[in-house]
Amino acid sequence: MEIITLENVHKSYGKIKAVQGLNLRMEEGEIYGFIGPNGAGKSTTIRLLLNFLQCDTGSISVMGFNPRTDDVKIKQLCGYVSAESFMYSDMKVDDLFAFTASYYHIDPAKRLKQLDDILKLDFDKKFGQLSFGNRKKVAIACAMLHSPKLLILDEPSNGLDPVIRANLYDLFKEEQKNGVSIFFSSHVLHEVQKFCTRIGLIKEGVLIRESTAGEFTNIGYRQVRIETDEPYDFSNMEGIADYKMENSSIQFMYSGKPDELIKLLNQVHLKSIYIEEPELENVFMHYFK
Amino acid sequence: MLFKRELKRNLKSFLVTILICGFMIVWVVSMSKKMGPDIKTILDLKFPGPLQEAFGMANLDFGSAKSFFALIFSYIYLFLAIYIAGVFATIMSKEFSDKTAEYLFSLPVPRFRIIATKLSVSLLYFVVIIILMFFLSWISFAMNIKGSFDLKLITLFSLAWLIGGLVFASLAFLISSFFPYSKSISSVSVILIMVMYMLQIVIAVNDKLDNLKYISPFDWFKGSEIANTMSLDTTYCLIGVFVIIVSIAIGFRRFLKSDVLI
Repeated sequence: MEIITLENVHKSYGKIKAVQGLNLRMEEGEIYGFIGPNGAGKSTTIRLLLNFLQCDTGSISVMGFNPRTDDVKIKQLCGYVSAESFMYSDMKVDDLFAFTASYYHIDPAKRLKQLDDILKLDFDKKFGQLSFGNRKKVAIACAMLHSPKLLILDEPSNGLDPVIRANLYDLFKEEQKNGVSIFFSSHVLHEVQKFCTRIGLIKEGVLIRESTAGEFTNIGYRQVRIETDEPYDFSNMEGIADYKMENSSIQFMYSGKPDELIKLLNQVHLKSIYIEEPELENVFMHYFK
Repeated sequence: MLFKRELKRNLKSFLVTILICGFMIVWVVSMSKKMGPDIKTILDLKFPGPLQEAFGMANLDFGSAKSFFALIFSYIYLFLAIYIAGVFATIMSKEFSDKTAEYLFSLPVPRFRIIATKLSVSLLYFVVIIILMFFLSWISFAMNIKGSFDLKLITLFSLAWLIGGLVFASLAFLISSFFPYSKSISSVSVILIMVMYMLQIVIAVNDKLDNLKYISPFDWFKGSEIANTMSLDTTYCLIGVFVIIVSIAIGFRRFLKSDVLI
């Protein structure tokens, strides 16, 4: 079952086209990583899903509901964490949980205990007294308080320390096992590569690449890194892209035939060589540099 | 839960307003006992005729306490207008400027109900202020004035404060819907009120601007006119109610449709 569907969605802010003909599908139970540079349209897309914005044209469906007409139904089944995670700064954290829980008509105690074990929450302070990372943790806990079927997260790990970050992704994996679908945007690409079942790459409001995490880095290129005593410029050779040379280290993406690469490398004295599948970061840089 | 939060959030400004306005009423009514008609000499020395008219102190018989009440009417009107316009200006815009709108709108409650709840709390506080002012005036008169006092005048003044205050409040709400992310919307509403207040004075002292009379809602309800005629001008009451309904309706619709961009 498709849990999120966007068909030919357009959204402009005046003359600025934030999203242009976006088509995106997310299946139930997936962890979908939504990546792209700043201003690519990630947050706009997320806000369209939650009816914070209304699209100019196109159709959107979240869990089978239209955000414009059924936004309360969507929000009952969905948890959301914004990138900046602003909540009421004058409220104590436990009051914020009580405030949030009251709208779902739930007793949050048991769930909060579980979330506290993972996120190490500070219940007694006012929200405004918390650091950015701690505010983020409170926002994540609020979003997960009612055990939603779908989590929509805008840069959820931003500001968190490495231990909490690792715990958080373990929690997401656990939630996924329980049937929860997770749609999140992030700039931490190695986390996206590690935890997502599918990845979508957005550029200037258009989804330019979408595939499973395993296939995402398969763009017909291999990442090549060599160490050599003799600086040699390969940058103009056929099949080479993203060429970087720093002292004795040379790095580039190669899309040609293996024989041709061997011939090329024969021209220099190699101290070491690495030929590997590109990482998500390399793919990202390949599209945006 | 939002209703409770809004009650708590607005409590401090409510208490400050009722304390200040309440003190003004108690003070001026008790002053009427001490000063009596002598105040007329002081007013004639300090304020020329047109200014007395502008401030709603013209043609008052200071032999009665009700004239002192009329004297303070415009100052309380001004203070209440500043209070309630500030409250209405920030009802929704504070959620946008403080960037809490995303959190609030992510809860499973229709945006219509969020706006209606917040508006109703602010309206409730203002109505409570007016009711308290009514009773405070009544008690002050009862304690200070021997003989009969007119409850109708207190009712008329209270109604004028209510309608006039809500006109400014609804306009502030409407303006805030055009600039929901502005942190200075409260100051803008205060400036609007001060401009309107000064406008009635400028118009009163300048005959050439007589055509502009009644642009300012402060000109709609004057303490002296109400005290002397013992009535409110029905036309201005109807215009006031019309402005309130239209401004709230447009502002409400704009906030319902507005994009949340944090």
